[in-house]
Amino acid sequence: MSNLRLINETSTTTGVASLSVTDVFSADFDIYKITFTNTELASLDWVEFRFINSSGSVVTSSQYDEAVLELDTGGAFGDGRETNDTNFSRLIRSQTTEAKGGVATMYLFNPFLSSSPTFGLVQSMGVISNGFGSKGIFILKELSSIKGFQIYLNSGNNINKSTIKTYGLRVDS
Amino acid sequence: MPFGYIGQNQTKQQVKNSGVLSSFDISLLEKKGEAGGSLELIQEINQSSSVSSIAFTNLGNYDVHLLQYSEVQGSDAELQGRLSNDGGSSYISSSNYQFAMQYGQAGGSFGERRSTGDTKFNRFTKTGNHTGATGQGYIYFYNLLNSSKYSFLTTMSFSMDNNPYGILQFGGQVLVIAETHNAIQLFQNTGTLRGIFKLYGVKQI
Repeated sequence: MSNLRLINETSTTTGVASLSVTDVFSADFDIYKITFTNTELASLDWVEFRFINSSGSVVTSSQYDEAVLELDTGGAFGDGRETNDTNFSRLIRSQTTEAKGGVATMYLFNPFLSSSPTFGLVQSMGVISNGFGSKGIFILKELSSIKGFQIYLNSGNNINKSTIKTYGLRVDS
Repeated sequence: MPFGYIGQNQTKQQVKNSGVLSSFDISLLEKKGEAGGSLELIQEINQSSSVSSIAFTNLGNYDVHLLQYSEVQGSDAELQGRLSNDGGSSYISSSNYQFAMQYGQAGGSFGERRSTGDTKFNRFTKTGNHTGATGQGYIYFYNLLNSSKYSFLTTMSFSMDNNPYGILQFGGQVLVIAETHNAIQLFQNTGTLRGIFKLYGVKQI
């Protein structure tokens, strides 16, 4: 039996402004794996990401840093970076058609632990006009207990489809 | 397999219990998909002799697959792949594969590799011609069995080149044909292939 434990599956097949996954991080796990599939948007955009704290509030403080290598199959690679931002702004670069819906796998470290920042690693693949992927790191520097997360588009347009699965990495004590 | 641990060394899990889950708890966990491990081994290929290619022709029923490989050996070769839409009778070789890969050489430079019209998935790992210059890494496949979506993958590897120095490679690739892809073939760009390959399904509810 593998050490991966499915905690939650959340999806939408209708257009929503944001998709939240709540109450998935707890003292039961320190490391989490999250898969995003079938991410179809109302407009070509970056899917953005924010945490939800233990009070159920979306964390919008200027405490997010990120560094993302943008992997374009049809052009030069780019660097995307932010410091003291209000979100993680480069989760998946995705499109408007079902076939091109972007995918990603993310690892999170210590989201629930209030004495530690929350660290993230992510690797994605999607299609704009050509295939377009990314690999990046991000951190929420704020020391708080995180219990969930939310994805949305900065443009305000809808996420038409997405499936998010959250897994815990079991550690025997 | 459901939980059912007794004693102090309980696993961390979603249902608080005193050590033994009730049949009701087990039934509920199974219904929610939260019982047992979530990486489900589909097939392992331990290829100890040199062959021209290996193939996984049973992909189960998953939307995300993880292919782990280790001890991959070639001779100054790059591990590549193709997908099939007929269960492995043939493999797609049209110019519909796209890739964007970043590499970094411990003894050299960092750089980019890309294509929007390749005939195969490219550069999963690169192995040199020294004994022990092996490649190891993983590939996540997405949407392989979904006929309405392109088949995507993300990948990362670390291997040894001819010098022998370490090489890091990671990136994303896509086959821009929306159809069911039900077999995976791996091969080297030159010469033969050996190694250990494990295909998992990532469990869904």
